Amino acid sequence: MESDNGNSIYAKFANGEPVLRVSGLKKSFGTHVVLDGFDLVLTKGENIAVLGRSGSGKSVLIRCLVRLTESDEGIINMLGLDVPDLGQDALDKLRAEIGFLFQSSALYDSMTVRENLEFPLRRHSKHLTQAEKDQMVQEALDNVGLSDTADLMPSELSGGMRKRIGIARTMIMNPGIMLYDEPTTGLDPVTGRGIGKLMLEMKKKYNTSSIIISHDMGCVKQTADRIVVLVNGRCRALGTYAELEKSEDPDVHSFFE
Amino acid sequence: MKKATGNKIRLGLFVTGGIFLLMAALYMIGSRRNIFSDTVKVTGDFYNVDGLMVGHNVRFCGIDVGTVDEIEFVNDSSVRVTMLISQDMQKHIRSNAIASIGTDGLMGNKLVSISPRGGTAAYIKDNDALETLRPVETGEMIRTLKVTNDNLAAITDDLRTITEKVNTRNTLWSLLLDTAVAENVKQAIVDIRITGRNSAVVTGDLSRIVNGIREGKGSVGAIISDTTLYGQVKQTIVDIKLAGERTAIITGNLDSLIGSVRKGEGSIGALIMDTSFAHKINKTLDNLEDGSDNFNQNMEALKQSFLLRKYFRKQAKQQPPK
Amino acid sequence: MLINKTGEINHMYRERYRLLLPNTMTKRPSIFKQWFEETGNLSAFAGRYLRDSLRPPYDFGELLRQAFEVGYRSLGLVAITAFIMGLVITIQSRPTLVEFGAESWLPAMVSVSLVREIVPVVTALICAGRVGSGIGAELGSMKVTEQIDAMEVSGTNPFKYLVVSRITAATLMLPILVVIADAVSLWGAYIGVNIKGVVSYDLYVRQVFDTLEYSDVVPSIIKCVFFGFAIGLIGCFKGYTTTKGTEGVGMAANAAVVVSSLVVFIIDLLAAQITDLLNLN
Repeated sequence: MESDNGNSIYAKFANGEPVLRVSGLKKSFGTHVVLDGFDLVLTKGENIAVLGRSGSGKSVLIRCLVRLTESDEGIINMLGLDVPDLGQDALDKLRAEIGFLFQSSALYDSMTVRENLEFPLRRHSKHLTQAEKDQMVQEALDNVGLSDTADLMPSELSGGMRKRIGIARTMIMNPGIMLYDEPTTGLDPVTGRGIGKLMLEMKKKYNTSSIIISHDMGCVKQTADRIVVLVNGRCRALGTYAELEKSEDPDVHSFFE
Repeated sequence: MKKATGNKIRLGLFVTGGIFLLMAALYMIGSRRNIFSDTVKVTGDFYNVDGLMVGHNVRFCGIDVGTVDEIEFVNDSSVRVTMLISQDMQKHIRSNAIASIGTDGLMGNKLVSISPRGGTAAYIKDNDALETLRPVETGEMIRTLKVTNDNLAAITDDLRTITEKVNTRNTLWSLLLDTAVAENVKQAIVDIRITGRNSAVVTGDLSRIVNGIREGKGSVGAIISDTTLYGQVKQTIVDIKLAGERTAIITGNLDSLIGSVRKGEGSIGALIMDTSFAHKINKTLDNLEDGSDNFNQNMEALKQSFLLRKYFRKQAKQQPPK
Repeated sequence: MLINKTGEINHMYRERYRLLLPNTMTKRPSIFKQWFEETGNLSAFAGRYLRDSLRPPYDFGELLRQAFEVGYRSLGLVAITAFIMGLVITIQSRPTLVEFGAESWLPAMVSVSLVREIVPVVTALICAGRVGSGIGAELGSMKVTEQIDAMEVSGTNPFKYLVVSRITAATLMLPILVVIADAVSLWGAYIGVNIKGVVSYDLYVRQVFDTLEYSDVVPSIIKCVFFGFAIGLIGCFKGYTTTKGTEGVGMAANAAVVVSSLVVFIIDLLAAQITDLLNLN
């Protein structure tokens, strides 16, 4: 049932085992405190949504997880590795296990869809032949339902298509942990639901664990197993959608109105 | 994929084209300096290379045939210039050709000019030494002119002394009643003076000759300053005057020649060296000498004549011989 | 450090909340401090380029792509400019030389000024405009749309992939562009000479190559290597360190052109002094 990459560290973890532990994570920019002792545990096969207002530090959180932004303090343990202490090579190796979907999809404008999808392979899978690469690209495109877009340029795609190609590009490396930064922002509700559905399909197919940053409640409800509410740089509440919906905390409740 | 290959080909063309152009340019510059073609090496020893530098052109009959490769001292008065001459030109240049240093145009670069000298000498081969000409130098020209000037001053001084003597000693004039004769003598003196002044422009040769005149017997000076003269000397004066006139004519020639030198026709050196000119001057002076000889003869005749014999004796007693 | 996201975001936040905070906290750094900071960052950037360019793996595919972009794509523009410069310099120089009666020196004089100075500098300026702004805008937009971050999380060294390839391409292509531009400008000068006078092609070529020396050509080509490096470096630096979203992209492109043009002149000045010092003229 699981189609994990045989060589990956992620595959060595059993379902329900924690693959990511964050504790006491702090990050401030000058005098502006963004994260102030954030805690989170992600277990294998779980989708956690992080809710928070704009500028509350949600994006900073997941950037810290892959060290696109260096954290100030705190423990980030991903797949048993201490992320802040990793050297460049070990970090690159770990990053290969993580998929990161950027808010803007971050497709490379100067490359075709095919080259976009092949790009992550160039570093990590040098032994692959062109035929194998072509097959992987085709599979990834089939997964997101855009089989015939391989030779288009990103500028020729709609926003929803770009998101799907972005997902295909992250999934091509068979990552264990997916980090979604506002996956449905800027999309119409129908397309947004389509993306949510795709995220669930991917999770089912590749048995991934995900952290989903969003303030789109529809998407959160659709995709998340548990929800974390981030207020003032801390975890204010943690629970399922149904649990938090009943919360009396005004900061938490305001998201569910 | 196809597009990418096409781009690579274009990039390849671009890079190859650029490198080819660079190589071609470097080769063309180099070939003008005889770096890449076969050459023959010849040398020439010069007294003075007059600012010639390595890389300057070598010309044969006005055609660029090579470049200067090396300039070095052989000893304190000789500089050896090594020239690289294109092998194609080897079969045109004979080993008796003369090398000289010249200038390209009015203000151009220095160059070595090789001139053929005819004959059937062998063609040049590697490491041949060519004969060289001393370059005509402005500095040297001016030095020569200065010597000429000094001589000129000396001559003028001599002539002035002579003239003063003639003008201040009245014996001659008081004795001669015939004013016409006096006029003639004066005119002759004036002519000689003009001659002297004009001829002073010429070389040291002239000066030497004039000095010779002054010292020698029967010289113009002696004749003119002889205050013991009596009697009818008309003929003599006429002779002197004639000689003076001839000198004046020659002086005129001299003037026009000097004028043409000033205008730049021919080099001063060539003029100065002109032997026919010196001959003319010599002849002039011969004429003068002839004139004074006649004068002497007339004087002797006067002394013998009964009219003046007594006066001459008296004069001899009064004036102690010099 | 310069790719320190901390600092950038810090700056971003400060700008965003500038109006709300007391004046002392939002005071912009002084011009001198900015200048030194920028110079320091640029030097660190150059140092990182030198380090990363020597360390494998090498990305030849991207290098070729950038070389095509910088070299081949600039060729048309550079060639037209060089042709016009050759023509114009010749036409403009003629009256002065005629006044001295040295009209026959026209090819010699024009070729030296073209090869030594005019063509390298004009080509470098054209490239600063075309390539510098292109690189600045491209990297800038990649930066603000998180494409550079995306490369980083995918385990590719974006600095190596994007920056090293571009700087190397500019460094290698500019001298080649200048050689071709030299040739085109001399052709333009030939036409310029023949507009009012008559000089046969053979004589023209002879006069030009009679005058030119290695010491005219070689330093000017070496100079161009530095021009190319500066243009690539500054374009990449400005683009790679872009902040403030799309507005920042425009600023990055603009700054890349302005700074690299200025640096081209500074390098030219230094090159002139060095060749003078080495007695290469």
